[in-house]
Amino acid sequence: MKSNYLLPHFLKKAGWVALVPSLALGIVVMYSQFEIPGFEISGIKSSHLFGNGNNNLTNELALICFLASLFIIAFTEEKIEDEWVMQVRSDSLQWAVYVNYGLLAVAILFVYNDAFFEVLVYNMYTILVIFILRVNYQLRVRFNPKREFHEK
Amino acid sequence: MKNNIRVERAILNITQEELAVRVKASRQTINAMEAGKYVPSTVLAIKIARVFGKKVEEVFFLEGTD
Repeated sequence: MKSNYLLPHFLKKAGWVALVPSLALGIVVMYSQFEIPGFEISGIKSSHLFGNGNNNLTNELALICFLASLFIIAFTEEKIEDEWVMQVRSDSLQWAVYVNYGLLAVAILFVYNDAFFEVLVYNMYTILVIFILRVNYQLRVRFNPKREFHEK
Repeated sequence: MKNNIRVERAILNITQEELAVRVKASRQTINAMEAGKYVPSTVLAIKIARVFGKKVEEVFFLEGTD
């Protein structure tokens, strides 16, 4: 059997559980500049890219936790992971990339300055978010047998 | 490719779920095939035909566009 590069199914719930607090942390970091007091590393040597002095790690924590939970949700196996589910994954991945760059192109044309920075922050995650939405729509809504005429 | 899985299933009197269990696929996969939205691999096609006790060609058919 070919390997499918997916994480085991039992992690999916953990991904959803972790998503809530990391999203909440992300939002307070982004919109109220929240920083966990004392959660910092000091004396980062100056390089032009990363700047100098103390760096509070709250934003890094939020970004990494949010990324990890989305990644886990997206790439854990379904309960029954068969060939059709794999096809849905591959279609959805392509779809997500198209939609993601479509949205980015629109944002490039119509959003400027600080607002564009915000777009870039969200854009780090849109591929995964669109992928998750599409896969779940296909599996749990569109092809969910409970919605079909179900003769015995 | 078309198929008559739904008809064969009715003859055998089994649900999509029961067929899915027998061929180790998901219910959604059976559903997608019956809706004509998915062409299964050769392996899955043979497994399904076996459940119905038929040849693959008696369950799956090429259509004009194939």
